[in-house]
Amino acid sequence: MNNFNDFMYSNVPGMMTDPNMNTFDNDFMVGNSQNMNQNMNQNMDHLQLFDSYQGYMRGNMFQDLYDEYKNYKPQRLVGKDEQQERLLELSEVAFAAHDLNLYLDNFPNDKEAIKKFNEYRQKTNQLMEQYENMYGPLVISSNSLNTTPWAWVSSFPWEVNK
Amino acid sequence: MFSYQKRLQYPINIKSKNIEMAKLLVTQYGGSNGELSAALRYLNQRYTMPDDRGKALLTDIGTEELAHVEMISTMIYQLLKDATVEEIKAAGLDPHYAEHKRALYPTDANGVPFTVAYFATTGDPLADLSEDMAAEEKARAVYENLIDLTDDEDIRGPLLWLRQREIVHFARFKELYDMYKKELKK
Repeated sequence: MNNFNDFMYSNVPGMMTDPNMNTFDNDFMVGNSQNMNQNMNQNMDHLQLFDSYQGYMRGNMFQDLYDEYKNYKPQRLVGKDEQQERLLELSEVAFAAHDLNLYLDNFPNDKEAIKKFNEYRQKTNQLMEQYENMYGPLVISSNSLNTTPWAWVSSFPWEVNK
Repeated sequence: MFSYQKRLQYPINIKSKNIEMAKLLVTQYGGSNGELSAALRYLNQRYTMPDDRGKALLTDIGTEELAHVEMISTMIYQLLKDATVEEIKAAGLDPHYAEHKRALYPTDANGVPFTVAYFATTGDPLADLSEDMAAEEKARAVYENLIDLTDDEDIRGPLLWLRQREIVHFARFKELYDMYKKELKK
């Protein structure tokens, strides 16, 4: 169980480390807790949010709600090709917007959260359009649906990505 | 109305078939604490929430649960796709094969078919939200049981992620419950 979920904690003081940990890419590394605060966290006055990458890996944008099971770390997601990478990027910001959406349903007067939501919403729309132009439609309202044959009928998400 | 996005909320790419695990995982599809039960529970309860916060939250979490149904279904599909009849027999899934071949069917891990008796609606927002909080905690517990039962990281990764969603949803339901508890008394 040591070769997974290993991307973020290794050099962080006080964090659990795994002696059998494999090497991992530099862009996932967190050098120290100060860097962690700068890179991973977004300090809003009242909300401590992960950034969209860290939040998406965890399935939770809210630092105060994040609760690990045993010592399992989030799975490290890496796209096998350009298309999968682009889909991951889109999924990250879409997820960040969604998690803020749920929060805002309860607290609809939170201006800071609305601002943050809109940043992620705009990014999502932008990445969605880019993805669809390159790889085909994700939604039926996509501008990429004006080709023949009908692009909607190809590629379903439950099939394994080789 | 609803519309479909042709992507999973979180990627599922299971490389090794595993009939035993499919047999267990199916409970988060069609079991009492599963995702289908969650989706229908919230989408059914939302109409009688006392204000727009509740209507919004139950709509949005109920909709997310449909995306989780798709994730769990995808996992089961991928785990069973290449299973031979011999492997299916050996895993004790031959009754499923007799009825459904390799198709999906919402049951719990014992093969008991899904039923709407798994959830309730009282029309009382505090009672309904209490049920919703309990449902999220029970689903979290079942995800932990399932995580304990596998060492395949392709399976465990999505289960850890789904477990975390239960934690967030529980917190949102509890916030709303606490606000309603105060406000509805006035």
